[in-house]
Amino acid sequence: MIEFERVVKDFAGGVRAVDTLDLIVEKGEISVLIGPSGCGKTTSMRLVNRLIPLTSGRITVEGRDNREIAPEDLRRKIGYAIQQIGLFPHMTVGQNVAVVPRLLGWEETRVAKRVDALLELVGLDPDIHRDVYPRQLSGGQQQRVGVARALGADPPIMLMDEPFGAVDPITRAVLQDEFLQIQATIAKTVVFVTHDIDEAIKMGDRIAVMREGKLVQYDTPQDLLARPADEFVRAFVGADRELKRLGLVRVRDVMSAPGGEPPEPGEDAVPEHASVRDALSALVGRAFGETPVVDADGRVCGVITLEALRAALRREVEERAS
Amino acid sequence: MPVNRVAVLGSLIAGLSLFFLPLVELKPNRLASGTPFYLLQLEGDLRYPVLFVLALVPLVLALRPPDAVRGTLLAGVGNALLFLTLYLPAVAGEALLLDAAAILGEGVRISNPRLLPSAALALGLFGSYTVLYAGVRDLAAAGVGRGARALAAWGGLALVLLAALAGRFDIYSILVEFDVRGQQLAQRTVEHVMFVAVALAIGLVLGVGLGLWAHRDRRVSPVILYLVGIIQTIPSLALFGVLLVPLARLGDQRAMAVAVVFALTLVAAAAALALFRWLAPRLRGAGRQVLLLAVALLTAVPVALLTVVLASYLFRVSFIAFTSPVATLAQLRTLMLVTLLAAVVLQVLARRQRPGVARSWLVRATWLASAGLVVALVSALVLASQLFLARVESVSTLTVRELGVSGIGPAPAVIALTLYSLLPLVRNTYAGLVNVDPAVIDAGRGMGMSAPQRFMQIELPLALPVIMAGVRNASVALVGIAAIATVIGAGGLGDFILGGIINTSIDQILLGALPAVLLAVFLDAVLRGGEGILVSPGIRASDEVAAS
Repeated sequence: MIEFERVVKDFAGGVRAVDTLDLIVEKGEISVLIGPSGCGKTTSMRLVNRLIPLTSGRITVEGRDNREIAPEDLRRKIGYAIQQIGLFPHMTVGQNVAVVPRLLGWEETRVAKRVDALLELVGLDPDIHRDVYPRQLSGGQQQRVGVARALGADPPIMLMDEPFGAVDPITRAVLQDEFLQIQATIAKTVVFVTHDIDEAIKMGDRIAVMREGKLVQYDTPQDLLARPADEFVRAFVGADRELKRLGLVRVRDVMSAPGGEPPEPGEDAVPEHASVRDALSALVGRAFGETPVVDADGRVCGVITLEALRAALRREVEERAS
Repeated sequence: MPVNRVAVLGSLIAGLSLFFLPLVELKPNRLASGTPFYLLQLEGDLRYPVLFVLALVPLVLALRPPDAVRGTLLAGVGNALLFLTLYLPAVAGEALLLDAAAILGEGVRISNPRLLPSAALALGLFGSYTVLYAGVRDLAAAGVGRGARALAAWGGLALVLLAALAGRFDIYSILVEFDVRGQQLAQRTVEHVMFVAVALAIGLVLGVGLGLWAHRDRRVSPVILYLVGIIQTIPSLALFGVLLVPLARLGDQRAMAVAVVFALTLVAAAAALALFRWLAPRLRGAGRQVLLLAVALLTAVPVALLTVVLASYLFRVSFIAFTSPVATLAQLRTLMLVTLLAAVVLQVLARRQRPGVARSWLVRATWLASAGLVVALVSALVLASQLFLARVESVSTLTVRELGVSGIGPAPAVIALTLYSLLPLVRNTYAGLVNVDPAVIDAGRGMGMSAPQRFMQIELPLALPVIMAGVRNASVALVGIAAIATVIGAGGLGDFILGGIINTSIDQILLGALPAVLLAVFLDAVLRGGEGILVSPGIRASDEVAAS
C-alpha cells in the first residue's frame, strides 16, 4: 500500500507541481495517475521512490515513511519502468533484467533462474533473447524487457510511467492485455502514469485525475465515467464516456441463451470475453440484428441483442439513481 | 557491366608514374644531390619494360565481370607489382652503383655512393596497393573466405618482408642509413614511445578528471573547455620555450621546500573552497566571482606543481624501467608482457562466452591477469626509482632537478605533451558523458543504483567509445608533436628529422619520419583493438551484431 498524505512539491522558481495530494494506492491494485501535461502526475510518482524529494507532507510505503529508508534501498524494493524504456544498451537483455537482483547481491545461479523465469513471464524465449542486446529487439520486445526488469527482484510495488508509450497501438493493446494477465497472478501494488484515458480505463482499478498539481477525482473507472466530478473531468474523459463505459462490461454478463442458427463460417461473431462496446459495434454492423456470441473454443454460447443490451443499461441507470 | 574503377585508378597511377617520373636517384655520396633514372631507361634486361606492362594489365582486368576470378587476378597482379616495384630497382641499382664513376662522369667526388628511391617508386607502390585493394574488395564482394582474403591482402607484403630480411633491399639508401644508425634508432624510438606513453598516462588522469568535473558542474564546464582549448592554440615550439625558464628555476629548488609549498597551497585551496561554499549563498555578483577565481588560482598551484614533478619524474623512472638491462627489471618486463597478453586473450574469450559459470571464471582470471600487470608495472617503477635516486644522499638536500625536472631535455617535453593531450581527452570525456541518454541514467537511479554504481555501470561504459576516440586522437597527435621535442634536447625520433634537415639528408629525415608514422598507425590500431575489447557489442558502431 502507498499513502500520500498532504503531499506538496515545489520546484525551484516557486512552481507548485503537486499541491496537497491525498491518495491511497491499495495493495494489489493498479492506480492510474492521469491528467494533461504538467499536471504533476509523473512528479507524484517520482516522489514515491524519492527520485524527487518532497517539500512537505509524507508518503508511506507499506506503512513506513519513505524518508526513513535509504533512497537506494527504497528504490531496489520498488519496480520502475519508464516511457523511454531506458534499457541499458550496453548490457544484454539478461543483464538488464538482472540489474536489481545483482544490486541486492543475489547469488548468480538464483539470478540466472530469475532472469529466465521473468523473460518467460513477459513472453520472451530466454534461449533466444537472453543474450542479445536491446537494439536487436523490436519496440514491443524492448517494452517487455522493461517490464521484466522492473519485476527483477519481485518488488511488492511498481511505478510505471507510460510503460507502453513508445509502440504502435496494436502492439500497445497486446502489451496491456499481457500485463493485465500477469498482474492477475502477481498482484503488485502499481502506480501507473498515463495521459491516455482509454489506457487508464483499461488498466486502472482506480483512476486519479489530476489538474495543476491537485487531485480532481479518484474513483474506479466505472464511477469516473458514470459520475465525473466536474466539467474538467467530464471534458477529459471525453464526450463518448458512456460508450467507454460499455468497454468495461463483458459480453458474457449481458448475453442471452442461444436461440437461432449457429453462425456461418466466416460470419462475424463476438467472443464472450469481449466488451459490450465491441458487441455494440458488431450489432451496428448487423443493423441491430441478433449477433451470436462464441466462447474461447469458438462454440456458440449465446446471442446478444439490442433488447438485452437496453435491459442491462436500464438496470444500471436505476442502480445509479438509487 | 560494372568496371572496377579502383583498379583502373591504381593501374593508371602506377603506369603513368613509372613512365613519366624518375624511379631511383644515384647519389655520389650521402649529401650531394643525385642523378635520376627512369624505369624504361634501365638497360640490360627485359624485366624493366615487363614491370611497366604489368602495371597496365589491371586496365584490361577491370573490364571483366565482377567475380572471384577478377578479384584473384587483380590481387595477384597487385601483389606482383608491389614486390617488383621494390625488387627490380634494387637489382638495377647494383649495376648502377658499380658503374657509378662512369655514369656520374669525371670530376664528381664519389665516396660511398647511394641509391635513393624516387617519385615513381613511391607512387608505383601506391598504385600497386590500390590495385591490390581493388582485388581484395572484389573477393569480399564475391563472398570469398577470410583466410583467402588475408592471403591476397598481405601476401605481397610478406614477400617484401622476406626479401628485406634476406638483404635484397640493403642497397636502398634509407637501409644504408639504418645500418649506420640502427642502435641509435632503437634508443630514440623508445624515448619517443615513452614521451607519448607517460604524457598520455598523466593526461588521461587529468583529462578524464577535468572532463568529469565539467560534466558534473555546468558552471565550470565552459571555463574548463575554454582553457584546454587555449592550450591547443599555443604552438608547440612556443610552449617548449615558455616552459624553459620556470622549469629551470624550479629545478634549483630543494624538493622539501617545494613539498612544503605544495602542502600549504593545497591547504589554502581547500580552505578557500570551504569558505566559498560557506559564503556562496550569501554573496552576490562580483564578490562571488572573485572568490571563485581565488579558489581556482589557489588550486592551480598545487595541481601544476604535482603535474610538473610527476611528469618529469615518471618519464625518467619509466625510461629506466623499460630500458635498463638490470636483470630484475628485464624479468618484470617479461612479466608485464605475459600478463598483458593473458589479460587481452582472457577478456576476448570472456566476451565470446555466454554468461554462466565458465564466463565468470574467465572474468575473474582477466582481473587476476590485470592485477598481475599492475603489480609488475608498479614494482618495476619502484625498482627503477631506487636506481634513479641511488645517488641521493638525504632528502633534505634533494633538489627538484634530481627528481628529473629541468628547463631543457625530456621534462618540458613530457609536460608540454601532457598539456596537448588534454583537449581531446577533456572534450571527448565531456561529450561522451553529456550524450548518455538521460532516460537510461534515470532508469539506473530509479532502480536503486548509487551514484558510483551509475557511473561505473552506466555512464562510463556508454561514454567509453567517445573517450577512447579521444585517447586515439591524443596519442596520434602526440606522436607528431613529440618529434618537435628534439629542439629542446629531449631526444626522440625528432633527432633524426632535425639532423636530416640540417644536413639536407633525406635518408636521415626518413629514418626518423617513417618510424614516427608507423608508430602513429600502430598506436591507432592497438587502441582500436582495445576499443573492440572494452566497448560492449551492444553499442558498437558497426552493425555486425544486428546481422547475427
